[in-house]
Amino acid sequence: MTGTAQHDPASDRPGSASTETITAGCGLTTGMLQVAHLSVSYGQRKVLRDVNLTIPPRQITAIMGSSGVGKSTFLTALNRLTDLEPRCRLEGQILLDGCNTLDPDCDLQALRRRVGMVFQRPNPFPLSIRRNLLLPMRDAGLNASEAEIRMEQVLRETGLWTEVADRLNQSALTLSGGQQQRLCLARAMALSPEILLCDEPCSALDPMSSQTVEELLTKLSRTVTIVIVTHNLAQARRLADQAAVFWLRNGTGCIIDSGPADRLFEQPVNPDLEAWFAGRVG
Amino acid sequence: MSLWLPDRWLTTGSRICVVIASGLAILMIGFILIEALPALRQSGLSRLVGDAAWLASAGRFGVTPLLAASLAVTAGALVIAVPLGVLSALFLEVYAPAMIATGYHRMLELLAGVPSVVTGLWGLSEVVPWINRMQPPGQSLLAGCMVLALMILPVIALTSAMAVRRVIYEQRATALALGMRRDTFLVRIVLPLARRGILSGVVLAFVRAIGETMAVVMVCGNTVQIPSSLFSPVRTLTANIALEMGEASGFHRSALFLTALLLMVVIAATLLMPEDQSASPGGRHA
Amino acid sequence: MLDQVSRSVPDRLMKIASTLAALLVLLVFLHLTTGLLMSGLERLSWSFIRLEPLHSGRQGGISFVLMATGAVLAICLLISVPVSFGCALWIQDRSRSQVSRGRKWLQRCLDLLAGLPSIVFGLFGMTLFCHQLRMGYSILAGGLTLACMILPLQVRLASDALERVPDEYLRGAAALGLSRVRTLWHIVLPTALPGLMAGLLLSLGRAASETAALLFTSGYVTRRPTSLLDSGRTLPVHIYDLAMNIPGGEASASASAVVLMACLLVINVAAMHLAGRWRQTVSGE
Repeated sequence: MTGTAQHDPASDRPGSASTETITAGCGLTTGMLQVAHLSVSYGQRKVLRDVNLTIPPRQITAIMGSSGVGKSTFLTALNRLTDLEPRCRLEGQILLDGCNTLDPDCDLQALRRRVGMVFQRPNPFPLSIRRNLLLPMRDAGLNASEAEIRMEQVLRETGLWTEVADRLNQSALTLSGGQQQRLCLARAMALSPEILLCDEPCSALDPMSSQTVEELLTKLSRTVTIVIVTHNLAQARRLADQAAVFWLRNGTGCIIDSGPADRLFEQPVNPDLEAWFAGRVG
Repeated sequence: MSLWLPDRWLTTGSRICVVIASGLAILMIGFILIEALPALRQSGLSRLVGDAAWLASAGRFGVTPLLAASLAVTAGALVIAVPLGVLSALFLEVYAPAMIATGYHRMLELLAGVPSVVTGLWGLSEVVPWINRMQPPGQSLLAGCMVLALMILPVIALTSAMAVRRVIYEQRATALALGMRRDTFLVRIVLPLARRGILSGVVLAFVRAIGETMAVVMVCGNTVQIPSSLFSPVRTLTANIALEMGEASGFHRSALFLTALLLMVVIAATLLMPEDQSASPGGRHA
Repeated sequence: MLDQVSRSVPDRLMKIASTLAALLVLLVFLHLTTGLLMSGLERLSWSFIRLEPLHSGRQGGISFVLMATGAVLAICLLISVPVSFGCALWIQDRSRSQVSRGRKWLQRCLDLLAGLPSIVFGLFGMTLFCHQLRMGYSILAGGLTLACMILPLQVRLASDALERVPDEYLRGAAALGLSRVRTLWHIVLPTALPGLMAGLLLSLGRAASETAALLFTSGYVTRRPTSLLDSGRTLPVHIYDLAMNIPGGEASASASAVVLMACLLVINVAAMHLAGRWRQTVSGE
């Protein structure tokens, strides 16, 4: 059972922008992703089948499901990081403002600067805190002074500025786990992406840091579309505006329900889903 | 694919390097084949194999004594080095206390790093006189076997040690739980399971030994003859090339290339063999 | 269980046999090294290294030989390091995106080269570089031949070093849209550098030990080399000549061998030290 979710433009969340019309060409940035008939296979094995999902702009969309169902695979397909896996094949369409990112001619560097990613385990580069942030910005074309300004901006946004301002030249690896993850968030945000993909960003963190990161994500979602993979139902309930649930059918992952988070949790369409939400099934 | 120019140069540059490297292999094979062709066409294989002597001045290019010498000296070296190497591996991984094992390992690595001329020098100044006292002249097949054995022992010992270590790591819990005796464990479980790793070390050693030039030139005596005893002086294929390539021209040089080709064929055949072995049943995993 | 005390006869026998084997190897090794040192140290002195060879090397020193050795090795590395690094980069790139037939093909070519005896490289080098390309017996021809010979080893060592760079750095860089050049320069190279240097030193040691490939490519001459097209003998060739062709040359040969072994020892210790540091940096985080 595949769910086709369409976001209701007349959303009742205060302050949320209504969906703008997608123009035929690229250039109009709305931060909306449309996934149409996406299938992912590794070699002969099909991991995801016929996924359809619209990810609305400037909201938090939670991708849920039990482990092994293909959530991370789905997420990495959104910024074509699946290209790094051997023998991974993508079929279907992923439209970012009308342009299909699965097109072979798509500029991957530009795509990944518009669609940022934070990983499960914090992965700062083995460089100083400053270099971690400046390197991607310089690579994206910012000059030195612009980059320094932006660096301070994102460090303040992520709440790290007060903690690291006096040791920017120290190695990023000397930070604690929670700080490293916030640094990775800052690093991704430094490129001003429209969409931020988060692959279980809190699962490697202690509860305190976890909470800090969650608050950060909520704050960021006012300006950036956030897609977060989580296996933690409580976290999803706390954070999500929209949600999509992946389920294994015949050994392949697919979406069985998606839509506004409130509706999804209160009225599960499916007895399996209801059992899962109630905690009766793992 | 990145569109940034330096990225493109990097990709193109690395592709060029790959073309150079693989082109080199093709170039060498082709070159040797082409240079060997005149000798092959003119004499024909039967004459080369059947002729019992290699005497360039008389136009005789029989490879048999040379090939026999190469195989004999390699075989002799393996006969000495394989048992000693495998026993050394067991010493290293099983019997030696930790600190001695580390020291022995270092020594093997040092031994592996000794250049062939230096081992040959030692052979010439120590082994040859010692053999000479038993049976003159000292330069002989036996000297070659001993010197080569010293050269290939480290690779056999170190490769076998790695294989043995892995098998022990995987199997010791099981053996322990069954209350097995150490020697039974080693002989019936570890060595058979480590067979493939040990064999790969032996193959490497074979290739190294049969391709060795300097040490054999220095201690084998360089007489062209099929060895009749351990004390006969012999000349291997490699030594022959080294001794005659300086002044060879025309047909003679082509014949030398032919011997090089022969060496390559023997080595290729040896390297391809273990691949068949691994396909046979009797592998570890069901 | 493996460190139990021997209780059965077969076990004791095996232990004795293994220990005796190990002892035999150790004794032979000591015999070789002490014999070498004892006969070599007589002639060895600072002047041995400084002076030029006289009387075909029976007297004087090895200065010209050391110069030629340095020149040949320099040419060798100058050519083989970039080519091997390029191959290693290509392999690293390929291994992440697809299981590649091209990669297997390259591996086969390199395995082939690695299996060839060094004298075959010498024969090839002599005919191609010295004769057909008219370089004559020269340092240039020797360096080129040596480069061909150590290429497979260098590619393997370099790609091992690159492979050890943690995946998470590369994924992080890719997710940021970081260009390949910047990723390589700022992240991969600094991380892999100790490993790459260790590989470089190991292949340098291998090249410095080589004799057969150089006998008839860089030549035999003991004169002072003044250009790349000059002939010049390397240290191993010098040792060979003194041992085989020069009566009364054993003392100089041993002394030269001690110098060669000392240099190799320094190179290998440095390589091991770097390899240890590199293992620390990629795992100790």
